[in-house]
Amino acid sequence: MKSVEAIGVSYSVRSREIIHNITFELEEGKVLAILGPNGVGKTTLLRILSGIIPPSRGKVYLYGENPAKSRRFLTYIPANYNIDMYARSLDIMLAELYNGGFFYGRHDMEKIRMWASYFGVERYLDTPFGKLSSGEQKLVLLAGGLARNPKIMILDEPTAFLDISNQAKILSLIREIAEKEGITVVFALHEIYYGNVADHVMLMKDGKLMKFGSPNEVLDKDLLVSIYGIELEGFEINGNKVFLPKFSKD
Amino acid sequence: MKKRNVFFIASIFASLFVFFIASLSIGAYSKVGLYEAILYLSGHSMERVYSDIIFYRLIRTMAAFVLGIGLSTSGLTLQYTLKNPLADPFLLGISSGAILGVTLADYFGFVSYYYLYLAAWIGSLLSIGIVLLISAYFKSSASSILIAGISLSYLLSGITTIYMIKLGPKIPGVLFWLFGSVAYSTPGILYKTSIIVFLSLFFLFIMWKPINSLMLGEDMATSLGVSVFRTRFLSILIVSISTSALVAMAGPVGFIGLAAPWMARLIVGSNYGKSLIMSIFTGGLLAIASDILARVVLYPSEAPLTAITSIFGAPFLIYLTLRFKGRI
Repeated sequence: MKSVEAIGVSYSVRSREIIHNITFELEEGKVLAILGPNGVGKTTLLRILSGIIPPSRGKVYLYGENPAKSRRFLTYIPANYNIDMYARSLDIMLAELYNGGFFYGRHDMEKIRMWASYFGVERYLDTPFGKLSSGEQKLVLLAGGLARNPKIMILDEPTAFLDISNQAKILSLIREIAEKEGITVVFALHEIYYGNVADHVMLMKDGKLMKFGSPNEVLDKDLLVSIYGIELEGFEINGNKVFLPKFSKD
Repeated sequence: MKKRNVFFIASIFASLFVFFIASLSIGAYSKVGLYEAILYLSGHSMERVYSDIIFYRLIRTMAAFVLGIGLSTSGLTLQYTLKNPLADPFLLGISSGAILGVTLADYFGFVSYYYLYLAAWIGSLLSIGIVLLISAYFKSSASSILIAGISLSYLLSGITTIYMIKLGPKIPGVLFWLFGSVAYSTPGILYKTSIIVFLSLFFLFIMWKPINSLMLGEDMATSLGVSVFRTRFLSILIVSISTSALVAMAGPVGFIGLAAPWMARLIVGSNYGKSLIMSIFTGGLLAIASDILARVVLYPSEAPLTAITSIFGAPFLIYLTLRFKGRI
């Protein structure tokens, strides 16, 4: 079943086009990583997919519906969130639930506790959000976002500012929720080597979709070199292609 | 709920009751005290002068209560919608508009309490109207609404200063209102103000979930299906109408709108719905207590309410902040 569908999506600000004619589709429960240099429009594309801004041209469908109408099963977590740092983590997660009745019930609390303990942040429920480390903040937001019972999660740079263990934790959780819960995950990424975690990788440059396919198809040295404009070294680990910048030490 | 919180909530309700009785018993006319207040409340007949005095105290107590509720819930709402923990209902030019209105009314010779009430109300509504128009026209962010409000405040204060100097010997007419007091509230004005305050409280309560979601920031709130602009605009509009009515009734009484919401948030947490309900009581309590102190500190004459709320409110807020260290 198709969960995400983008048809000829373009976005312009004052006649300058930031996103050019992007078309792709995803099946339910698949993970898509979007790669590309800074400023190529990854965040803009994610905001369009989440229905925060409408595309200037083209259409987006989430399970066949307009994003504006599919909010009850969508979770979006931005990279630079502007969250009230004085608010308790529990209240942040409750605010993320949003849908449902006029008041929160026992059931909502249970869901939040369940996901919070799943992510190991249950002891921070009473802690102000601003007192948590960036990694813990991301985990709190993910827990609240999952308590919504989403069918689609759109995450902008979920690995940014995290140490390697938290990055691994979040990426394996993304895989796990996709496989166990059938949640479709679309996320933006800077670490090329983590592209292997996803089912599909999309490479973007200057607002254009350069390539879309399986990690092994898309992570091609010549293509990456042309997009990032630096020399890269390629390795192969357990059949996965890994690229790192080439440094000269003298 | 934690024991500590139950204790705080219980003590707020107990103090509210004690202060209510105290407020009916304390005043310049010392012959009417606690005993008479209890007689009055239990429906016994007494000398007309005595019952009139207690009725007058009852009106001002209710006025203080409504003032506290309105300022506190408005302050709380603005802290959420403007995403600024230091927001206060007077930040958007509401009080400076009212002050200019009163000053102009006094200057042109409309000196009765009712005219000043109307002038204050019109002044504050006009000034907040300008701020809201600017924000609607530019679809502006929280910080640009704040900048518009603060700039307009300064502009209006400047004009007020010019007219105050022109007023010369007639200046006390403005000053008595500027210091803030609930002593001049009449049953009619209290009635009108209460309806406005409770109606706005009702609308804020209906909107609690969208307002609460603003704590997540604009993008996340939008992705949840909240119309951020509409929520912000409507809540500021509601708050402004209620604050304008309160400023007209009691003058620009500061600090309650900042301290009472924080007291509520420290006790029940950062959920907007819960702290909205709690701030009704913290605000009411703070205002009644301040009004009693205003009658006591310069006995038998009265101190300005704004002075009391600041002198006693500030240390109390600092105490709470230290007491609940780690929650802020």
